[in-house]
Amino acid sequence: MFNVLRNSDSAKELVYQGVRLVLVRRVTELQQQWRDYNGLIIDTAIEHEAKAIVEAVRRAKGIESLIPLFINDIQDFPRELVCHTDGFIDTQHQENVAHKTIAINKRLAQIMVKDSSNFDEEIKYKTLGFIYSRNQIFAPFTSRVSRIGYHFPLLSLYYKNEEKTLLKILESLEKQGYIAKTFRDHIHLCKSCDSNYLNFKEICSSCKSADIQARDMIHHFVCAHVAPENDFKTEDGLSCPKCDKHLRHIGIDYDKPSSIFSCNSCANEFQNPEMQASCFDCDTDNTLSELLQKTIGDYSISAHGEQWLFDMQSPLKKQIETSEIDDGTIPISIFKVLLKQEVKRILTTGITSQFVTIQYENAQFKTLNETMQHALKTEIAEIIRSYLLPSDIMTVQDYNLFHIFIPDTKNPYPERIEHIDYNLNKLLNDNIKKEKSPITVTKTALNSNTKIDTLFNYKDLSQC
Amino acid sequence: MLEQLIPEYILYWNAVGIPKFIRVFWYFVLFEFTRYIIIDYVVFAIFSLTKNRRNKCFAQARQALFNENPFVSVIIPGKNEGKHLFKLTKSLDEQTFSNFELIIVDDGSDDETPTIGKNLEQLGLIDKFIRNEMRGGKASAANLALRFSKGKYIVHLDADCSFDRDAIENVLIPFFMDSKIGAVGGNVKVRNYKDSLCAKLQAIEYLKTVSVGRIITSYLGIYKIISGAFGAFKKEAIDAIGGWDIGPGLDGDITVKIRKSGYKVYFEPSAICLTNAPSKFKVLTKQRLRWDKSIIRFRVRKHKDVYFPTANFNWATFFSLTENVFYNVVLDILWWIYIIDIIINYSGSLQFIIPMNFTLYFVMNYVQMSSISLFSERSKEERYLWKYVGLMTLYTGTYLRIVRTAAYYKEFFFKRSFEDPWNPYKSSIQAKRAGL
Repeated sequence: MFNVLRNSDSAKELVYQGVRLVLVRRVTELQQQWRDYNGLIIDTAIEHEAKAIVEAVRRAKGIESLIPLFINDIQDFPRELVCHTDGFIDTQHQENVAHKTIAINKRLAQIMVKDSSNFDEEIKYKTLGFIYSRNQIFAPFTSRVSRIGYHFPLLSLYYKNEEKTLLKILESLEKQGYIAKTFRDHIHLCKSCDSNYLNFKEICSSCKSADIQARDMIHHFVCAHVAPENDFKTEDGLSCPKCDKHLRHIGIDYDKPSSIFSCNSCANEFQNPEMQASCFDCDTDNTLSELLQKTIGDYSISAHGEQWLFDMQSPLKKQIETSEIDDGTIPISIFKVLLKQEVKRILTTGITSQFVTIQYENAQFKTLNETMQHALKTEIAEIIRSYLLPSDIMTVQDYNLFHIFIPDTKNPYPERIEHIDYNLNKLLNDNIKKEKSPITVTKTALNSNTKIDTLFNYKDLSQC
Repeated sequence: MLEQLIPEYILYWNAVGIPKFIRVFWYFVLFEFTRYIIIDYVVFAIFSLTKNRRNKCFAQARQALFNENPFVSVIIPGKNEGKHLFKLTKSLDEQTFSNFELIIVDDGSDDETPTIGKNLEQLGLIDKFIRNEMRGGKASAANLALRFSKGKYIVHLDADCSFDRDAIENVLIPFFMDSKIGAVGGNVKVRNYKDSLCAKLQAIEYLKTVSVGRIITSYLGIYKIISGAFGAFKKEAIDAIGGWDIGPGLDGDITVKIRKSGYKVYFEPSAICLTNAPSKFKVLTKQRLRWDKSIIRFRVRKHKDVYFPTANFNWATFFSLTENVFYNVVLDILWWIYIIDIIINYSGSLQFIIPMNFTLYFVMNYVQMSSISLFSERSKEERYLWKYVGLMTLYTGTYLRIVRTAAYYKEFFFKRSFEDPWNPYKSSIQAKRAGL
């Protein structure tokens, strides 16, 4: 049983085997000190208060927001709120809570603290951190509150009415290999508002009215007459309009080989009605092919995702360092080897080679997420590569930092470097707002005394 | 010297004189020569004399057709015909007459036909695609199409056919030549005549019996069968008779029904449709057994009232069916009597009779082929078939006659057409009980 310690009039603390949990009744009770506890317990019957507490904690910045958060089980809240917490606890007899709290905090402690500079990065960090620290499947559940029909732990707090973006985040994480998905369901969303609250109905293929009626067709065996059931109906039952015979027994006298729809609006008769999905939220009529199909899955963190949490090493940097990329650059490690070799060659042959560094600077670039930075880097690399000769060697140190090694040239500023400088400046000036040139081109003539490592010491110009 | 070059059997028949020649070859002289040579050439002579008048009448009717531009329903009932549908829609797209809706009825197909049909309907290549999950037979599928057709005229097609560009236009024109015409048959020819010997012989047969034969019977007012592959009907006429009845042989049956309801039936040779004929004799035998059984079932049994002087008696209908039954059933029986006659009375002269018979039929077939050339609009292409005409003696004179005899026997004594899987058992058994 927890030992109850009263700290103040408004809050009380529970301690069990060294685990300190604080009971919170109102969001205003949440102060900076809550980060000092091992966990929080929501202890209010008022739903909006509980919701405010959940949002205040979970939407706080940094890994502390993933602190164990429980609800006193004497309360009853909707699943859409509970899913963002670690569940209900019995404050009197819940020894497992202490163990659960310890386990979560232990895992949280393994995650490297990171000060995310942009929102996407923060979401990625917290999502992966949440899945890892809870050590369980990240499973959405069906919910009418959500526009897409599925509610996600943690993420739904951030993307109210923007569930499509939420799904994109998860797709992106999956695509990058941070999480693995197990198929759960397909959902179909309105083309206009992304809502899943759709009314599927059969409509007339001619006038698009939903006022249609299906009727059975009757085939009278003996005379081969086929028509809708209405044609056969008489006061006495069914009678064939072709041969006037009474139809008594299905399977013997007649059968019903198919059905046909008739439209009460335009009298069109057809067998294959069109399907329409009308959105309850925005009244848009969608044909089935217009609906946006998305996949819902259960997610688990991958080894790659865990590694990212532990050391925060950017996959982009890792990629640049370990493998050749498909934009005509080589890994920096190989580049350095070649450069050292060139210096030795200069020593023996007396030839001249040039080393050029191209860096583009802008604070806007820094705020781009990793994917965008990678895309930008690839595009710029392709442009630079298009001006270089096959004998020129290029590497990428960072998304905005390129090094080019031009062997065996006496020209300290080759014409192709001028072209690169001019065209990149023009391209970036056309797309970003900045008064001074965003491109810095530095040239160094290699000689036998060149210290290789000094060539790569560059400061982050975007802070300038 | 000259006598040495002439075969002995020819010299023999030259020596015995005409009376004995007629006595021995009475079957050929009385029936075959009269019907297929004399009548063909007499009708052709009349045709030639009236050509200008007919052309003028046809042109006026054509103008009337385009002035009225009636809405037409093209209906295609069938089972497992999906593979032909796209080609068919393309063939119909090329038609000079275009004011028609296209209705396809899928009679319980168990292949990809439903998918193909629905797709073509969604693409707008078919106006209405109706599927019966349970197969009901061709008549029920045609009646279903008829129920949902909105045209003033109904054009019934088979899915595996293709058409001359003016085929639909030409099949509709006769309705504007005579308001009493209730149905018009198209001219069905064999498309795959180069496939096999079997197909080649059928191509010749179709030219003789379908093309020329129907021109003659139509001219004489006794045209008896509108092919299911290509025929047009006045909607009011076909509605009045309740559409198609259970087959096999429903196309011949509906022609008689239209005749009996007071309408004229016409054959339009310029409305050309090409179809694939069976390329194997085994398949052909099955098809012909089915067709020949239907003569007994419909012409002899179901419509026997045509032969009696009832209130609705009509001479044209009487002659139409009588000609049909006579030249098929009666002559078939007479042929066997002829064989017995020869065996009993002239067994000693068989070495002269058999080669002479073959010679007579050989010559007649070529003379007949000449009359076909006179009528045909594709005579140049059909010259390819001339070298096979000699085999027609064996094909029509022996093979088809044996098949026909077997069919008549089975149908007359055992009503085997009601057991034909071509029609579902559930319908056939009911039709048999009802005596249809």
